[in-house]
Amino acid sequence: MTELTPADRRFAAFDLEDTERERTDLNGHTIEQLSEYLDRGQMPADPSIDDSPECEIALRSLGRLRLAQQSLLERDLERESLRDDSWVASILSNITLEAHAGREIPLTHPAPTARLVVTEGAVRGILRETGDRMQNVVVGRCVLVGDVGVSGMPITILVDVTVFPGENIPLLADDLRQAMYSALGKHTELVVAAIDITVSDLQAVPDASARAQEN
Amino acid sequence: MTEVLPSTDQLDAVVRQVPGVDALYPAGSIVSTVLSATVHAVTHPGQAAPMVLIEKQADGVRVTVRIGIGATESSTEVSGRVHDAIAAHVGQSGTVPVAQIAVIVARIG
Repeated sequence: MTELTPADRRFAAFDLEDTERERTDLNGHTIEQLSEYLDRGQMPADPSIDDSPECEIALRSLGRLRLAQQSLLERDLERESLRDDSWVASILSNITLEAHAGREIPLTHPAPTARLVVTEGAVRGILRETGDRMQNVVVGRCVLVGDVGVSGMPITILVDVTVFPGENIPLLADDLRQAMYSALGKHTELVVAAIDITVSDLQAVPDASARAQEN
Repeated sequence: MTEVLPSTDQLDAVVRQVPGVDALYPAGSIVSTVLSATVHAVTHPGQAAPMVLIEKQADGVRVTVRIGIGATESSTEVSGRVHDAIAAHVGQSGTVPVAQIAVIVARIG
Protein backbone atom coordinates (compact mmCIF):
# COMPACT_ATOMS: atom_id res chain seq x y z
CA MET A 1 0.00 0.00 0.00
CA THR A 2 1.30 3.48 -0.77
CA GLU A 3 1.69 6.26 1.75
CA LEU A 4 -1.38 8.16 2.76
CA THR A 5 -1.63 11.34 0.76
CA PRO A 6 -2.42 14.65 2.48
CA ALA A 7 -6.16 15.22 2.54
CA ASP A 8 -5.98 18.65 0.94
CA ARG A 9 -4.31 17.41 -2.24
CA ARG A 10 -5.61 13.88 -2.46
CA PHE A 11 -7.95 14.69 -5.33
CA ALA A 12 -5.95 17.39 -7.09
CA ALA A 13 -5.66 15.24 -10.22
CA PHE A 14 -9.41 14.75 -10.51
CA ASP A 15 -10.97 15.58 -13.88
CA LEU A 16 -8.73 18.47 -14.69
CA GLU A 17 -9.89 18.57 -18.27
CA ASP A 18 -13.56 18.91 -17.45
CA THR A 19 -15.19 22.19 -18.31
CA GLU A 20 -17.34 24.03 -15.80
CA ARG A 21 -20.46 22.95 -17.67
CA GLU A 22 -19.43 19.31 -17.50
CA ARG A 23 -18.95 19.66 -13.77
CA THR A 24 -22.54 20.65 -13.21
CA ASP A 25 -24.56 18.56 -15.62
CA LEU A 26 -24.82 15.17 -17.26
CA ASN A 27 -25.77 15.25 -20.93
CA GLY A 28 -27.66 18.48 -20.21
CA HIS A 29 -29.27 17.24 -16.97
CA THR A 30 -28.46 18.15 -13.40
CA ILE A 31 -28.27 15.56 -10.63
CA GLU A 32 -31.51 17.06 -9.25
CA GLN A 33 -33.30 16.42 -12.55
CA LEU A 34 -32.01 12.84 -12.60
CA SER A 35 -33.22 12.39 -9.02
CA GLU A 36 -36.70 13.59 -10.03
CA TYR A 37 -36.63 11.26 -13.05
CA LEU A 38 -35.86 8.40 -10.66
CA ASP A 39 -38.75 9.53 -8.43
CA ARG A 40 -41.08 9.27 -11.41
CA GLY A 41 -39.97 5.71 -12.08
CA GLN A 42 -38.10 6.95 -15.18
CA MET A 43 -41.44 7.72 -16.81
CA PRO A 44 -42.23 9.17 -19.24
CA ALA A 45 -39.10 7.90 -20.92
CA ASP A 46 -36.61 10.62 -21.79
CA PRO A 47 -34.21 9.48 -24.54
CA SER A 48 -31.71 12.20 -23.66
CA ILE A 49 -31.33 10.46 -20.29
CA ASP A 50 -31.92 6.85 -21.29
CA ASP A 51 -29.46 7.03 -24.21
CA SER A 52 -26.69 8.50 -22.07
CA PRO A 53 -24.30 6.10 -20.31
CA GLU A 54 -23.22 8.96 -18.04
CA CYS A 55 -26.83 9.51 -16.91
CA GLU A 56 -27.30 5.77 -16.46
CA ILE A 57 -24.19 5.52 -14.25
CA ALA A 58 -25.43 8.48 -12.19
CA LEU A 59 -28.97 7.04 -11.91
CA ARG A 60 -27.65 3.71 -10.66
CA SER A 61 -25.41 5.44 -8.14
CA LEU A 62 -28.36 7.53 -6.98
CA GLY A 63 -30.47 4.40 -6.56
CA ARG A 64 -27.81 2.71 -4.41
CA LEU A 65 -27.33 5.85 -2.32
CA ARG A 66 -31.07 5.99 -1.65
CA LEU A 67 -31.04 2.37 -0.50
CA ALA A 68 -28.20 3.15 1.91
CA GLN A 69 -30.07 6.16 3.27
CA GLN A 70 -33.21 4.10 3.67
CA SER A 71 -31.27 1.46 5.57
CA LEU A 72 -29.93 4.12 7.95
CA LEU A 73 -33.35 5.57 8.55
CA GLU A 74 -34.90 2.19 9.20
CA ARG A 75 -32.33 1.66 11.96
CA ASP A 76 -33.09 4.95 13.58
CA LEU A 77 -36.53 6.16 12.60
CA GLU A 78 -37.36 7.96 15.81
CA ARG A 79 -34.25 10.07 15.74
CA GLU A 80 -34.38 10.90 12.05
CA SER A 81 -34.49 14.64 12.71
CA LEU A 82 -31.12 14.49 14.46
CA ARG A 83 -29.33 13.02 11.50
CA ASP A 84 -26.85 15.21 9.66
CA ASP A 85 -27.20 14.41 5.96
CA SER A 86 -24.43 16.67 4.66
CA TRP A 87 -22.49 13.54 3.67
CA VAL A 88 -25.27 12.73 1.19
CA ALA A 89 -24.90 16.12 -0.49
CA SER A 90 -21.17 15.52 -0.81
CA ILE A 91 -21.68 12.10 -2.40
CA LEU A 92 -24.29 13.51 -4.81
CA SER A 93 -21.85 16.09 -6.12
CA ASN A 94 -19.22 13.40 -6.59
CA ILE A 95 -21.65 11.18 -8.50
CA THR A 96 -22.13 14.02 -11.00
CA LEU A 97 -18.39 14.48 -11.41
CA GLU A 98 -17.50 10.81 -11.66
CA ALA A 99 -20.22 9.75 -14.10
CA HIS A 100 -18.64 11.82 -16.88
CA ALA A 101 -16.89 9.73 -19.51
CA GLY A 102 -13.51 11.27 -18.70
CA ARG A 103 -10.37 9.76 -20.20
CA GLU A 104 -10.20 6.71 -22.46
CA ILE A 105 -8.45 3.64 -21.09
CA PRO A 106 -7.08 1.38 -23.85
CA LEU A 107 -7.85 -2.33 -24.18
CA THR A 108 -5.70 -4.54 -26.38
CA HIS A 109 -6.81 -6.46 -29.46
CA PRO A 110 -4.61 -8.13 -32.08
CA ALA A 111 -6.32 -6.52 -35.10
CA PRO A 112 -4.60 -3.37 -36.42
CA THR A 113 -8.00 -1.82 -37.14
CA ALA A 114 -9.15 -2.14 -33.53
CA ARG A 115 -9.34 0.78 -31.13
CA LEU A 116 -10.93 -0.60 -27.99
CA VAL A 117 -11.34 1.55 -24.89
CA VAL A 118 -13.25 1.66 -21.65
CA THR A 119 -14.09 5.12 -20.35
CA GLU A 120 -12.81 6.41 -17.03
CA GLY A 121 -16.44 7.12 -16.09
CA ALA A 122 -17.39 3.49 -16.65
CA VAL A 123 -14.46 2.32 -14.50
CA ARG A 124 -15.29 4.77 -11.71
CA GLY A 125 -18.89 3.57 -11.96
CA ILE A 126 -18.02 -0.09 -11.49
CA LEU A 127 -15.63 0.74 -8.62
CA ARG A 128 -18.39 2.74 -6.93
CA GLU A 129 -20.83 -0.12 -7.49
CA THR A 130 -18.32 -2.62 -6.10
CA GLY A 131 -18.06 -0.61 -2.90
CA ASP A 132 -21.75 0.16 -2.60
CA ARG A 133 -22.58 -3.54 -2.90
CA MET A 134 -20.68 -4.22 0.31
CA GLN A 135 -22.57 -4.12 3.57
CA ASN A 136 -22.42 -0.82 5.51
CA VAL A 137 -20.28 1.07 3.01
CA VAL A 138 -21.03 3.90 0.61
CA VAL A 139 -18.32 5.12 -1.74
CA GLY A 140 -17.96 8.87 -1.49
CA ARG A 141 -15.32 9.53 -4.11
CA CYS A 142 -13.20 7.50 -6.48
CA VAL A 143 -10.23 8.86 -8.41
CA LEU A 144 -7.84 7.30 -10.92
CA VAL A 145 -4.47 9.04 -10.48
CA GLY A 146 -1.91 8.66 -13.25
CA ASP A 147 -1.80 8.40 -17.02
CA VAL A 148 -4.53 5.83 -17.67
CA GLY A 149 -4.22 6.40 -21.42
CA VAL A 150 -0.77 4.79 -21.61
CA SER A 151 -0.74 1.00 -21.48
CA GLY A 152 1.47 -0.40 -18.73
CA MET A 153 1.85 2.88 -16.83
CA PRO A 154 1.27 2.23 -13.11
CA ILE A 155 -1.59 4.20 -11.61
CA THR A 156 -3.07 4.63 -8.16
CA ILE A 157 -6.73 4.51 -7.15
CA LEU A 158 -7.89 6.82 -4.35
CA VAL A 159 -11.17 5.94 -2.71
CA ASP A 160 -13.12 7.79 0.00
CA VAL A 161 -15.80 5.84 1.82
CA THR A 162 -18.47 6.41 4.41
CA VAL A 163 -18.83 3.53 6.87
CA PHE A 164 -21.93 2.75 8.89
CA PRO A 165 -21.97 1.23 12.39
CA GLY A 166 -20.93 -2.33 13.10
CA GLU A 167 -17.90 -2.76 10.85
CA ASN A 168 -14.29 -3.67 11.57
CA ILE A 169 -12.74 -0.96 9.44
CA PRO A 170 -9.34 -2.58 8.67
CA LEU A 171 -11.04 -5.81 7.57
CA LEU A 172 -13.61 -3.90 5.57
CA ALA A 173 -10.88 -1.89 3.82
CA ASP A 174 -9.05 -5.11 2.92
CA ASP A 175 -12.24 -6.67 1.53
CA LEU A 176 -13.05 -3.54 -0.43
CA ARG A 177 -9.53 -3.32 -1.84
CA GLN A 178 -9.63 -6.95 -2.99
CA ALA A 179 -13.07 -6.50 -4.56
CA MET A 180 -11.87 -3.41 -6.42
CA TYR A 181 -8.70 -5.15 -7.65
CA SER A 182 -10.91 -7.94 -8.94
CA ALA A 183 -13.24 -5.51 -10.77
CA LEU A 184 -10.30 -3.63 -12.27
CA GLY A 185 -8.75 -6.89 -13.43
CA LYS A 186 -11.96 -7.91 -15.16
CA HIS A 187 -12.67 -4.62 -16.89
CA THR A 188 -9.32 -2.98 -17.54
CA GLU A 189 -5.70 -3.77 -18.30
CA LEU A 190 -4.51 -1.07 -15.92
CA VAL A 191 -1.39 -1.67 -13.86
CA VAL A 192 -2.65 -0.68 -10.43
CA ALA A 193 0.18 0.13 -8.03
CA ALA A 194 -2.13 0.77 -5.09
CA ILE A 195 -5.70 1.29 -4.01
CA ASP A 196 -5.63 3.79 -1.15
CA ILE A 197 -8.83 3.74 0.87
CA THR A 198 -9.72 6.56 3.23
CA VAL A 199 -12.63 6.26 5.63
CA SER A 200 -13.66 9.88 5.50
CA ASP A 201 -16.95 9.56 7.34
CA LEU A 202 -18.19 7.35 10.15
CA GLN A 203 -21.96 7.43 10.33
CA ALA A 204 -22.59 6.56 13.96
CA VAL A 205 -26.15 6.37 15.21
CA PRO A 206 -26.82 9.77 16.83
CA ASP A 207 -26.99 9.87 20.61
CA ALA A 208 -30.38 11.52 21.19
CA SER A 209 -30.03 11.87 24.96
CA ALA A 210 -26.68 13.66 24.69
CA ARG A 211 -28.00 15.97 22.01
CA ALA A 212 -31.06 16.76 24.15
CA GLN A 213 -28.82 17.67 27.10
CA GLU A 214 -26.77 20.02 24.90
CA ASN A 215 -29.96 21.85 23.95
CA MET B 1 -16.44 0.09 -58.91
CA THR B 2 -19.16 1.66 -56.77
CA GLU B 3 -18.35 1.75 -53.09
CA VAL B 4 -20.98 0.28 -50.79
CA LEU B 5 -20.98 1.45 -47.19
CA PRO B 6 -22.36 -0.88 -44.53
CA SER B 7 -25.85 -0.05 -43.26
CA THR B 8 -25.91 1.57 -39.83
CA ASP B 9 -29.25 -0.09 -39.07
CA GLN B 10 -27.75 -3.51 -39.71
CA LEU B 11 -24.63 -2.68 -37.71
CA ASP B 12 -26.83 -1.66 -34.76
CA ALA B 13 -28.44 -5.09 -34.88
CA VAL B 14 -25.07 -6.84 -35.24
CA VAL B 15 -23.69 -5.08 -32.14
CA ARG B 16 -26.81 -5.67 -30.04
CA GLN B 17 -26.57 -9.40 -30.76
CA VAL B 18 -23.03 -9.72 -29.43
CA PRO B 19 -23.08 -11.68 -26.14
CA GLY B 20 -22.37 -9.39 -23.20
CA VAL B 21 -23.66 -6.19 -24.80
CA ASP B 22 -26.67 -4.92 -22.85
CA ALA B 23 -26.90 -1.36 -24.19
CA LEU B 24 -25.97 0.57 -27.30
CA TYR B 25 -25.55 4.35 -27.03
CA PRO B 26 -25.26 7.04 -29.72
CA ALA B 27 -21.64 7.12 -30.81
CA GLY B 28 -21.48 10.65 -32.22
CA SER B 29 -21.25 13.96 -30.41
CA ILE B 30 -24.44 15.39 -28.87
CA VAL B 31 -24.86 17.83 -31.76
CA SER B 32 -24.32 15.26 -34.50
CA THR B 33 -26.57 12.77 -32.67
CA VAL B 34 -29.44 15.28 -32.45
CA LEU B 35 -29.01 16.25 -36.11
CA SER B 36 -28.85 12.67 -37.40
CA ALA B 37 -31.80 11.64 -35.20
CA THR B 38 -33.86 14.50 -36.64
CA VAL B 39 -32.97 13.59 -40.22
CA HIS B 40 -33.65 9.93 -39.52
CA ALA B 41 -37.06 10.73 -38.01
CA VAL B 42 -38.02 12.51 -41.25
CA THR B 43 -36.58 9.93 -43.63
CA HIS B 44 -37.50 6.83 -41.61
CA PRO B 45 -40.62 7.69 -39.61
CA GLY B 46 -41.39 5.30 -36.79
CA GLN B 47 -37.88 3.84 -36.67
CA ALA B 48 -35.27 4.46 -33.99
CA ALA B 49 -32.23 6.43 -35.12
CA PRO B 50 -29.09 4.31 -35.60
CA MET B 51 -26.54 4.38 -32.80
CA VAL B 52 -23.45 3.23 -34.68
CA LEU B 53 -21.39 5.96 -36.32
CA ILE B 54 -19.87 5.29 -39.74
CA GLU B 55 -17.52 7.80 -41.30
CA LYS B 56 -16.01 7.50 -44.75
CA GLN B 57 -12.48 8.86 -44.83
CA ALA B 58 -9.59 8.79 -47.27
CA ASP B 59 -8.07 5.65 -45.76
CA GLY B 60 -11.35 3.77 -45.54
CA VAL B 61 -14.40 3.52 -43.35
CA ARG B 62 -14.27 4.25 -39.62
CA VAL B 63 -16.89 2.68 -37.41
CA THR B 64 -17.50 3.85 -33.84
CA VAL B 65 -19.81 2.21 -31.28
CA ARG B 66 -20.48 3.00 -27.62
CA ILE B 67 -21.76 0.10 -25.56
CA GLY B 68 -22.85 -0.79 -22.05
CA ILE B 69 -22.05 -4.20 -20.59
CA GLY B 70 -23.07 -6.20 -17.54
CA ALA B 71 -20.87 -6.23 -14.43
CA THR B 72 -20.24 -9.95 -14.77
CA GLU B 73 -18.83 -9.56 -18.27
CA SER B 74 -15.26 -8.63 -19.17
CA SER B 75 -14.78 -5.32 -20.98
CA THR B 76 -11.83 -6.67 -22.95
CA GLU B 77 -13.67 -9.78 -24.09
CA VAL B 78 -16.96 -8.08 -24.97
CA SER B 79 -15.33 -5.16 -26.81
CA GLY B 80 -13.18 -7.63 -28.72
CA ARG B 81 -16.24 -9.64 -29.72
CA VAL B 82 -17.98 -6.44 -30.88
CA HIS B 83 -14.95 -5.50 -32.99
CA ASP B 84 -14.83 -8.95 -34.56
CA ALA B 85 -18.59 -8.97 -35.29
CA ILE B 86 -18.41 -5.56 -36.97
CA ALA B 87 -15.30 -6.53 -38.95
CA ALA B 88 -17.03 -9.69 -40.20
CA HIS B 89 -20.21 -7.83 -41.12
CA VAL B 90 -18.42 -4.99 -42.89
CA GLY B 91 -16.24 -7.48 -44.71
CA GLN B 92 -19.34 -9.26 -46.03
CA SER B 93 -21.51 -6.27 -46.85
CA GLY B 94 -19.20 -3.46 -47.90
CA THR B 95 -16.58 -2.88 -50.53
CA VAL B 96 -14.75 -0.11 -48.69
CA PRO B 97 -11.64 -0.96 -46.68
CA VAL B 98 -11.92 -0.69 -42.91
CA ALA B 99 -9.55 1.88 -41.45
CA GLN B 100 -10.69 1.61 -37.86
CA ILE B 101 -13.32 0.01 -35.66
CA ALA B 102 -13.58 1.87 -32.36
CA VAL B 103 -15.46 0.19 -29.52
CA ILE B 104 -16.05 2.32 -26.44
CA VAL B 105 -17.24 0.63 -23.26
CA ALA B 106 -19.14 3.54 -21.73
CA ARG B 107 -21.02 1.82 -18.92
CA ILE B 108 -20.41 -1.32 -16.87
CA GLY B 109 -22.94 -2.94 -14.59
